[in-house]
Amino acid sequence: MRKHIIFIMILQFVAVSVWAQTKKGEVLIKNATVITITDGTRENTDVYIKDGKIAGIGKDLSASSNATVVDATGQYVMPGIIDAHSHIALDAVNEATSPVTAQVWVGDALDPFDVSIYRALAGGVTISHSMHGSANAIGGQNETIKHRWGTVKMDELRMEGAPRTIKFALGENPTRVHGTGNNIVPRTRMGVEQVFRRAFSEAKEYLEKWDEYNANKNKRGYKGMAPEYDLQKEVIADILRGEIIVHCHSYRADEILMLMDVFKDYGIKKLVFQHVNEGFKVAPEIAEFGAMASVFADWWAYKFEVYYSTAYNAAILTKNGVTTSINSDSGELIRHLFHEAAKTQKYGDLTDDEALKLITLNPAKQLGIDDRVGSLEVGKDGDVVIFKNHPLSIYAVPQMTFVDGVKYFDINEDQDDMRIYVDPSEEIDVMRSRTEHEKCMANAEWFLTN
Amino acid sequence: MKKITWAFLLLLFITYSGRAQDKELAPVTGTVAITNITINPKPGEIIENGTVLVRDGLIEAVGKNIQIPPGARILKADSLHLYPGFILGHSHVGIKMPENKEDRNAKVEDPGNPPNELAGITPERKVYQYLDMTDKSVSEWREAGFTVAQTSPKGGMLPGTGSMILLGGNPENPILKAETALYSTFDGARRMYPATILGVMAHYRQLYRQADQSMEYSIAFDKDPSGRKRPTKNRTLEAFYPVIKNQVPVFFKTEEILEAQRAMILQKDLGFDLVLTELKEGWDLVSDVKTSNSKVQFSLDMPKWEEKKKDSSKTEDTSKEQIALEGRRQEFLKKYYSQMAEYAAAGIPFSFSGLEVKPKDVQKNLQKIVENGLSTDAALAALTTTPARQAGLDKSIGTVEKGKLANLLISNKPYFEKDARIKYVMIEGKLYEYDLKESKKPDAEVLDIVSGDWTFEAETPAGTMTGTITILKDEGGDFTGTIYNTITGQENELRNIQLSADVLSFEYSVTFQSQNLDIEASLTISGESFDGYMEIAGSGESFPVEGSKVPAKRN
Repeated sequence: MRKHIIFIMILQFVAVSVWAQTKKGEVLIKNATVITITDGTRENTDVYIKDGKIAGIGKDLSASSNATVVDATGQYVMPGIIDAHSHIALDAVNEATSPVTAQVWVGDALDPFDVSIYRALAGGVTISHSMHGSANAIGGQNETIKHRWGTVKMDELRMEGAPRTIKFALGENPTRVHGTGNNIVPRTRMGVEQVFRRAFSEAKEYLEKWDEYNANKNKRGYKGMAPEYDLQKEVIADILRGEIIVHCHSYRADEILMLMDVFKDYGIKKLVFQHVNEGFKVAPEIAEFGAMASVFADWWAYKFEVYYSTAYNAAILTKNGVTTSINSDSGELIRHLFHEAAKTQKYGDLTDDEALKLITLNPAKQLGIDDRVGSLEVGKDGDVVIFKNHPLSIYAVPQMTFVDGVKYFDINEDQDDMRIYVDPSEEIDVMRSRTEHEKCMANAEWFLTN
Repeated sequence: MKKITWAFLLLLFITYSGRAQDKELAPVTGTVAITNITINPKPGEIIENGTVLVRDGLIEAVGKNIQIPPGARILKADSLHLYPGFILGHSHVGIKMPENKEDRNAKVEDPGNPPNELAGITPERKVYQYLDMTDKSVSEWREAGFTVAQTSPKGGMLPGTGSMILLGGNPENPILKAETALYSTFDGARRMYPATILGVMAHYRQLYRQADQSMEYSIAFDKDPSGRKRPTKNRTLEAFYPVIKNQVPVFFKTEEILEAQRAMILQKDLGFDLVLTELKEGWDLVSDVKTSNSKVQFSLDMPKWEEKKKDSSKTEDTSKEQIALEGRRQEFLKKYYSQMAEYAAAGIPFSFSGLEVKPKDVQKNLQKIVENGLSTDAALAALTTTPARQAGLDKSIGTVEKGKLANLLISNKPYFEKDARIKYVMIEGKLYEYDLKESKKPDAEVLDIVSGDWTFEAETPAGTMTGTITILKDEGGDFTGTIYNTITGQENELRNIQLSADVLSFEYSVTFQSQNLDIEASLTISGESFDGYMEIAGSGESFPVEGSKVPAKRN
């Protein structure tokens, strides 16, 4: 049985990439200003991508005859933007029926038909972290996706080999949904803490029972029953084992400190705080723990617990040594994360590289994929974006976006009808009455209205 | 007297079954010879002027020069065409599920851990507990030429276990094979776990692996109970055992392409035999289906095929954008009908399912599929040999061969030809006859009055709807018309306007709360008023309509 489970996990998270052979492209971008992030910014430089990987950065590079050549004279090339908090390309966001739903996985709900993927590409974003919502204290597992727009295959969206991550949530969302909505724990912030402690303790017991069973099952005459298989505890046990990065929805300084205390008690180290609007108050503590932070540039006061924040948050966290990113959490903001990053130059005087790291290398670190993406280096994935004007300029406009060397967005070839599938019975309504771009609490509404 | 054939005599013995729309011909003898008929014994074979001899519900002989035993009923079937009775791969035919209205609004104490019954997790239910052979779906499918169907319970993510049943013959003994499918859907529960696709996928894995584990333990216990804890009985988990042993496949309802992919993800994780049933969007999945070795059942419920009429009045304001949008709509409409030919070309066997389609639309849809590239042989295989094999019943049904059940379909023309109509259906030797008369001519007085304006009032679920129906008769004698209603404020064109005796029927589409609804109306005209009903296509929801003629203006 144990072997069975391990086998299944391998299948679920690794082997899917084997049957999804994604497209790889070859492209030579000539004569651009190349912002490498890790190795300075270079004028009149070429970037060569072969078989989906960066094969060269330098002057007067030559390419095979298969390569598409793009003249980027006067334009800027930077690594594809990475959004560490998004809910795009998902058919469902919250399984809001229980305070702990570690067993669910948004990778099961991927929707390659979501036009938000294309809109993100038009904003230079090549990777997003599609997350479970924040209705539950321990929500579901997330999926890191590459924006391979046009595919109809769920598996082709997955970033093959990206580490597993899971969503946690503190504060008002889980207490409103479960406490106020259903009259079960957690009703308060104290309750949220207890939900974590109980889940970890139970998973630890589960682990120990399995260890005991596995140690004895092959002994002669052993007649014990295996512990009852529990997918939820399997996943939480993997958090305890350090195999899953926790991304926790958080606002207030006190609850941020609380979670780090809980994690210390259970020896869990991989932690990224999301939103973390009061992070500036506890930046040294976050840095000391080794946690990271993914924030909005200047968005707060949309509910009581996030009444208090500052546009200097990203800069303060950065200066205190916290690996910080700026995220969208929205199908609209995702289109201009480069503007969001630029705000840290107005509020906090970050350098160009510091500001751009907030949307490239740092989110890559938070997702555990910085060895693959997040900067322009030979051997990394060919995920790049070409900008007209410097990406931190208010006049910046993405021109072309490449994933694995394949061009998925070109401002000059933008089509009117971007639907991948057409429903023959659909009446096309050109007037859109409402755009919903904030999905953090999607599928949880009904618990709030009863 | 010699010239009076047995077939004619048979007609004198008709008994009329009250509910069924067909005439059930009482057996005079257990032996029937159907003579001088074009036989399609199996896909790809034809026997001209052949004979099929049936005895006691089984096929005794097929071919030319068959010796007809004395005493056999002879059914002279000159110029008719005979096929193996069709098999419907999957359906909800002939079942009456218990209705439990309390469940729908049930509120549980802990929505994260609800009772299985409320959460739609009832794999232990067997469909044969709910069979009702007098349900009109049985006679409707039989009339459409189907002699055997797999039927499953409905409701929730794991509605229960399906059976293969005969759609006629001996109503006391309709079950051909009792447990043929573990039916599964991605339908979440209401306000409790698993509510979304996230929960359904995770819970499927949880239940399956738990079942795997408990099955292993109970096998070990049965072998050597001494010193072991007694295993817990759990009927939910036990329902998975035949699936885990690969004795029964999982039939996953996967209309959309993403659902099909999700079912294949679960199959890869858990290792069950998978049938993608009620598949509608399969055209991009040929290679995935092949690699995953899953089986396919295409839905017979298909988007309406609208022939593009050159409508001159509308071309003026048709923008380039509209033309492009319409072009893409047509391109995708075609994919629904042409994908079967692609699967056939790739060598992937498939059958059809009818979870949602109306039986009377089936022949029309199949003919369109054939027009879009599927050979009639491949289509016949999808209706006979493939579903028989998929159910492991190919030794007893699926072809017209000696020793098989006498399940036959007889039509006046080759079945896939336009205007072909089914004349007889035989199930386990029992013959059902259908009236081939064209629809009745409209009554003269109705024909006189129908043209013009009518006001109507209908009690719809959205409140009282009033409006105007306008019917015009063009020079060719065809009807055109429009309907205006006060609820949506739209004027919609009428389609498929028919007048039969005193009944006016038509279809139209309205957009209501940004949903496109197809409505079918059937109105009985009497003097200057009518009453009847309108039905929302596919929903089974209908509402009463009344109306009266607006006196024509005098010039």
